[in-house]
Amino acid sequence: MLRGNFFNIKSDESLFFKKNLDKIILKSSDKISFFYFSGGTTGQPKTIPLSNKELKGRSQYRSECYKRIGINRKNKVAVLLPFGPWVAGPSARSAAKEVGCVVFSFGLLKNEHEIISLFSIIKKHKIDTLITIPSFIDMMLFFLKKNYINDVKINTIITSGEFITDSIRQDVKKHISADIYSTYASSEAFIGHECIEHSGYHFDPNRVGIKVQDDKILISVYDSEIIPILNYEIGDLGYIDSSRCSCGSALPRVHLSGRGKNVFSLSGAVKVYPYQVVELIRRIGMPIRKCIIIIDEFSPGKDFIKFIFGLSDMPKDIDRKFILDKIKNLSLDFADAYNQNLIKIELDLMKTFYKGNKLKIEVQDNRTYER
Amino acid sequence: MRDKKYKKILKRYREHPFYKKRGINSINEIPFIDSQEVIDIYKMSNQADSMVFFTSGTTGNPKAIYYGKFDISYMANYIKWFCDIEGANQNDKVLVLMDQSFWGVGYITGLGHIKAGNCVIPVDNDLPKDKIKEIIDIVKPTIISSLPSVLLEVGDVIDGYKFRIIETTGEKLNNKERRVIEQIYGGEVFDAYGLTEAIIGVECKNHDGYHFNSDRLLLEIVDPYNKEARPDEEWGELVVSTIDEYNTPIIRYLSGDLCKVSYKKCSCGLCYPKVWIKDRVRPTINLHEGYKIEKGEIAKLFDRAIGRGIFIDAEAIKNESKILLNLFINDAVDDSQQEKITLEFVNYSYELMHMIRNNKLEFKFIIQ
Repeated sequence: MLRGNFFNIKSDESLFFKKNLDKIILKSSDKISFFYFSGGTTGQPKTIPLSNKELKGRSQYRSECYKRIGINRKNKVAVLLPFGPWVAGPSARSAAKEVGCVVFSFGLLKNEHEIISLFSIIKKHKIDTLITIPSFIDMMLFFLKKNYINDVKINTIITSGEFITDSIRQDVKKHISADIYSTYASSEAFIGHECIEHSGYHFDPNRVGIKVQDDKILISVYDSEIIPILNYEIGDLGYIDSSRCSCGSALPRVHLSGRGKNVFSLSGAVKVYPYQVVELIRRIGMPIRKCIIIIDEFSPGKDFIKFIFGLSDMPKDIDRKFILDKIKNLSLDFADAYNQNLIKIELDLMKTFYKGNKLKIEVQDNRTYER
Repeated sequence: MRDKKYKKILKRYREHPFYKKRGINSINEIPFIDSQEVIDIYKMSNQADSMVFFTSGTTGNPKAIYYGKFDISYMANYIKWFCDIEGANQNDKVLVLMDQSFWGVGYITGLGHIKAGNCVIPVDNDLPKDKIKEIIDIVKPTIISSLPSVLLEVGDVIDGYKFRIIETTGEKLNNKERRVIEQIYGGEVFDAYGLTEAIIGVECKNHDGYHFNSDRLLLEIVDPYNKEARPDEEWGELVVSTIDEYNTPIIRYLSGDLCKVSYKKCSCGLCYPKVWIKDRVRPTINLHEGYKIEKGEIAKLFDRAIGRGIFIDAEAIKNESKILLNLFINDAVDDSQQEKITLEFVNYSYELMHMIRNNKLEFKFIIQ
């Protein structure tokens, strides 16, 4: 039993960053089996070292959630999440394997011909379940409609990483007759899943502890081994509902009521936090006092982001290429999504000057649905 | 010992639906199988509780390979055996720089290293080069496992970082490439030889041929034309039989590789037999990241596209960002015919489609 008060760990000062990591790697090197990575700012990507026990624990918990959603060993599951250094794809793959499904791992497909060939593979191999992110579903629906394909049928889609709206759920039901179940997870931990009622995320309090403080969600993962996750601020706002759900489950639910200030999600399940923008401005090294970020869609499931900087005075020369390069490398996952053409960026400078030392960041989201 | 192996293979043969229908009584009666029949084996294997990876092989038709739970464990154990030969130890951190989703080799290599007690950093080779460097800086891996072409491509960002061991696989590695890779990455290169259908062997410190575990694999050498058995240490086509694979047993598979096998003790001290690979039996073009296509298949694509056998030869020239495929022909083709030929290439396999649509492969028609 844990007693006493623990400090809250904020996502921008956690042990997953390089400055704290070397000692951990040195101390637990014999236990670490895998290294995965997550966003973070450039020069400071979040590193997630996992032991075999942790990985197994994560897969088991995730697979229990998948089973509660209704996935069983008869299902054929395609994992359409990023692999490589990212933890999302491998975690979903090992959980589906733990359930006993037939597992296809595709990674995050990004262009028309790849998605069209996915449709033929789905039909040929009778794949009935997809694990992916909402922006991919958006892309998939677009190409289905564009190519007049109407014989792709899926039973279940499990999503994570981004918010999913009712209009997408209805669109998916209409075109591929699939039910969408959203899951709530971060790189650091898998938290919970939606049930048939689609009202909050059920979580197992024996696996993951959730506390709400000033509306902020704090998580503690009980089987974390290499890096203990205690009272970790995940960056979302919400509340816990312990009443019995009408789906019949006695497990409590966490409801999300919003993101932390200015946190925004982009295509490819990329999350951008204010501290990353502050770090970006520091790296650009210009007297920027105001930053307006306008997010729009340039094609279904793909985002267009315009950075507008307000300066305190005009420098002698502005190297736009240098600034764009710094923006591209905002974080490891941002750079990856940019390289995969899921994100487009543009730069603009305000004509008026801003005095004072305080930096203001504004986010304007013009997308048709919230991520 | 060999009798015991034969019995095991015969048992697999009688159990699997694909082989069972052929009704064989002794090992000598088992017919050879080719890559098309391997697809049938995968189709008829038990698909429950399996992982599916894709490959197009060298002769088209993307194959979906269903690896059962035991097969994955068997292959991971075999990779662990490779690690022992290379000298990987429990303190090693392994950067597996390969495709981690579609192609199974990256996943299985990672699992094998975990079995060997290493720590694994799985990284997709699509990740930008500077990001790969960032990961190397943070984790400081001691072993890198990748394809020779990827290692050469990423080489310019390595910037003096030294690895202890460099594992290569998936492509034929020539001596020049080996020297360049060793110079850039600072360690010793150990090349591994495998087919999509079976993992074969790994080099020892002598770097002369690939050791294979004869308890796990039965390798035969046959004449490429009349398929008669060749004695040890004579070149011929390699025929592979896996002994312990349950889900998809590969029995007497004609690999298309020109090889020789020797059971003599190696001077490195290992008693395991060795296999050497010289070339493909049929002329083949190496394209990108381990993907190959037989010249005979290219000729068929020409036939299908324009109904004329004008293809003579092909050569692939690699530059920084793309591959130029020179197609030597004996008659002119107009723009629409060139487009038809390109379309045949696009439809031939997933990898070719991926390369062409992403502008990584360009065709040049040269009349001779």
